[in-house]
Amino acid sequence: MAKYRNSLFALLACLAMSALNGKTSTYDLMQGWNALDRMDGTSAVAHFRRAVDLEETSPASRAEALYGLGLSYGYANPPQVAEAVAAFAQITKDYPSADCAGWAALESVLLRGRAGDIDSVAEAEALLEVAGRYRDHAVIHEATLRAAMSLLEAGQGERSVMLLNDHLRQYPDNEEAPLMRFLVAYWKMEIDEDYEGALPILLELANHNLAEPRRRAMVMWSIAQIYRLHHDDPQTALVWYRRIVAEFPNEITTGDAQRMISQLEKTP
Amino acid sequence: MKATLAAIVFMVASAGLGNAHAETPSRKDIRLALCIADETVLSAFRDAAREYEAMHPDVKVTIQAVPERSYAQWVNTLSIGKMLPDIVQAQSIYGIWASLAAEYFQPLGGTAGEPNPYNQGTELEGVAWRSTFRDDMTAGYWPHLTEIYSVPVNFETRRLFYNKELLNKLGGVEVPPSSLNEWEKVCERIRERDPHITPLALSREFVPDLLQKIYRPLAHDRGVDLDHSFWEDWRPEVTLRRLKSGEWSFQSSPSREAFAAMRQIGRQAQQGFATTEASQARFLFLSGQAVMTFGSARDAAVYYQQSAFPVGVCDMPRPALADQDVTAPVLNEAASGSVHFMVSRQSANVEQAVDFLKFLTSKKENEALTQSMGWYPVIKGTKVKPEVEAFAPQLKGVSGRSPAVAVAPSLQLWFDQEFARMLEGEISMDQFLAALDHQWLANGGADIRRRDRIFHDAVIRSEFNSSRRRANLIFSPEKTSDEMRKLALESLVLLRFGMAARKEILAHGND
Repeated sequence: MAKYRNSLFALLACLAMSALNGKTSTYDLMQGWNALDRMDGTSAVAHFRRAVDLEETSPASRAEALYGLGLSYGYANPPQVAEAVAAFAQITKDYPSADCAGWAALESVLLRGRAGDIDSVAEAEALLEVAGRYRDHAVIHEATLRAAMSLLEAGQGERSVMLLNDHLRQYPDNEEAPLMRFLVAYWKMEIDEDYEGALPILLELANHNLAEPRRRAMVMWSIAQIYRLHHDDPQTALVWYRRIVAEFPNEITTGDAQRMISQLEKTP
Repeated sequence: MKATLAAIVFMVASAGLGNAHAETPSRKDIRLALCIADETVLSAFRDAAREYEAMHPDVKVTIQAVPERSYAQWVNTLSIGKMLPDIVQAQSIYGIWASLAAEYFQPLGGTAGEPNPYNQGTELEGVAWRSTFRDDMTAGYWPHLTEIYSVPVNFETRRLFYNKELLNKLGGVEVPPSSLNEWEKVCERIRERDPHITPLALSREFVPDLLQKIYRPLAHDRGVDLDHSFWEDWRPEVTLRRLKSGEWSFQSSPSREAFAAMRQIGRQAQQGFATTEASQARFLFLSGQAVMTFGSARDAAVYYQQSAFPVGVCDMPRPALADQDVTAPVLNEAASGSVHFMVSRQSANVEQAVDFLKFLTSKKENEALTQSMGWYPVIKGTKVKPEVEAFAPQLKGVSGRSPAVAVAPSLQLWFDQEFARMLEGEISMDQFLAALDHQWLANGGADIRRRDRIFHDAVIRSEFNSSRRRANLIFSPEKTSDEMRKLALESLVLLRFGMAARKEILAHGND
C-alpha cells in the first residue's frame, strides 16, 4: 500500500511540475509576444526573461524566449543593443543547429545597423558574413538582399547591383529573387538611366508575382514605357499596355494604360 | 502525508485554473474614433457596434466623435501618450497622417489578402478582403509607405450641386455645362442678372480638391512622358530633377493651363472663400445666395432635406487641354477621398479591431451602414440609394501621374497659403507660378530630405513588422504565412530603396 502511495505521490508531483512549468513557459512566451506586439517592451522583456530563466523550459522554448528577448531589447525605445545582441548570440552559441539561429544572427546585425552601432558598409559586410556562415540556411538570401540594400544606402550602387546579380546567377529561383530583380531593374532605371539594361530584368519579372500583386502591373507599365519612350517602338508598347488592361482590370495603372492605348491607336 | 497530497493536488488544480483563467477571454473593449460629429453618422456607427456586440458577447465597441478641427492634434497627442483608441479615422494619407501611420498604426496588407468571414453566404464568400472593394482597396493603399494602412468604408467623390430654379432663371440653362469655358459663361450671366447672387459657394476645404480635379488630370499626359522612373506614383525627386534639367516648369504648359482653370473657378466663388468654413458655404447655397456649390454624398442628404428649392447634382466642369479641342482625361476617383480607418498598434486587441473593420466592410453591413447615412458604399454588389448614384466613383480614369506640387512640410505650407491667395486674386498667376518654380529649386531638396527623415520612423516600424512576421513563421507558423512575411519584407525594402534612390539623386544633382 505504501509502495502504491509513493508512486501516486511521484506521479502527481510529476504532473504538477510539468503542468506548472510547461504551461508557465508557454504562457510567458505567449504573453511576451503579445506585449511586444502592443509595443509594451517592459512587459515583453519580463515575460521572455522569465521563460528563459525557468530551469524546466525546453531547449526549443528557451531559444524562442531568447529570440523574443532579443527583439524586445532591439525594438525598445531607445534600443538596448548590448542586451539584444547578447540574447541573439546566446541562441547561435547554445542552439547552433536550430532554425532560428541563422535568423538570430541576421537580426543581431540589423539591429546594430539601425541603432547606428555600425555604418552601412560595415552592416553590409556583417550581413555578408552571416550569409557565408549560413550557406545552407534560408537566411542566406535575405542576408544578401539586406547587404545589397545597405550598400545602396552607402552610395555603393554599383557594388550592390553586382552583389545581387552574382547571387541571382547562383540562386536564380531563390525566394527573394523577384525582389532582388526588382531592385536591380529600378536602380538601373532611376539612378543609372540604363533602360536597355533594365528591360530584360523587367521582362523576366513580368512573369512572376511580387508579394504585392499590384507591383506586377507597375513592372508591365515600366516595360511599356521603355518600349515607347526609349525604343521608339509604340507597337510593342501597345502590347504591354493591353496586357495591363487585360490582367489588372481594377488597378489604378489600368486607367493610365487605357489612356495610352487610345492615344497610340489614334497615331497612324 | 495527507497534507502533502493536498498540496500537490492544489498545485495541479491551480496550475490548471491559472491557465484556464488566462485562456478565458475577458471582455474586450474596442474604441473607434472619428471626426464626424453628425448625429446620423454616429447613430449609424453605434447601430453597427450593437449588432457586432450581439454577435460577439465578449466584445464592447465604443464609438467616439472628436471635433474635426482638433482631431489630428488629438490623435497625435494620444499616440505619444500611448492612449490611442483601437480604431482611428485617418483624415488623409499625407502630411502628419503619413508619419502617424508609419509609427503607430498596423500595416494591413497581409490581412487584406484573406477572405472576410462576414461575407459568408454571399457572392463574396471566400474572396480576398481587398478584392471585395469596388476599387480593390486602392483607397487604403499608401503608395509612399508602400502598404495598406487604412480601410475605407465609403467613397467620397465631390460633385457640383445646383439650385435648379436659380440656375434656370439667372443662368438660362437647365444643367451646368460640362466644359469649364461654357460653365464660366453661365456664371458671368448669373452675375450680370443679379450681382447680389454668387454663382458658386466655395469653402477652404474644397481648395485641395481643385488640385485633384483640375491640375492632376490636365498635367497627366505630360507627367507620363516625363517620369522615367516608372513608379506607381509621381515622386517629388522627379519634379526637382525635371525642373533642374529644364524639362518641366510650373510656368509652362500644361501647368499654366491647369492653374488658370483653377483661377477661373475661383473667380466665380464668393469673396474670402479660401478662409470660409464648409458650413458657411452650405448656408450660402441653402439660403439661395449662391447658385452652385461643391460637396459630397455626405452633403446630399442635407441639401435634399433642407433646401426650399429643387437641387440637382452633376460632375464638375472639365477644362480643355491646351491647343487641343478635347477635354482633359477623367481622373480615377478611387483615391479621391473616403472615410477610412486605421488600427492602432497600441491596441490590446488588434485582431478584434481588424475583425470589426471586416464587419463594417462586409457586404451586408456596408450596405446597411452607408444606406442609413446616405453615403456611397465601398463594397462590390452593395445597393446604392438613388439619390447618391451621382456620386459613383469614376474607377476607369487616369491616375493623375503629374509633377508633384509640394513635398511635406515647409513647401506644402508655402503652397497651401500662396495657392489660396492666387485663387482669390491676391497675387497674379504669373507671380505664383514663378514663385512655385523658385520655391522648388531653392527648398525642394531640403524638403525631400526632411520628409525622408519622417519616413525613417516608417522604416523602423516596417522593420519591426518584418521581424515579427519572421518570428511567427519560425515559432508559430499557424499564425502567419510566408506570403505575409514576404509582403512585410517587400514593403520595407521598397521604402528603403526609395529613400536610398532619392539620396543618390539629390547627391548627384548638386543640390
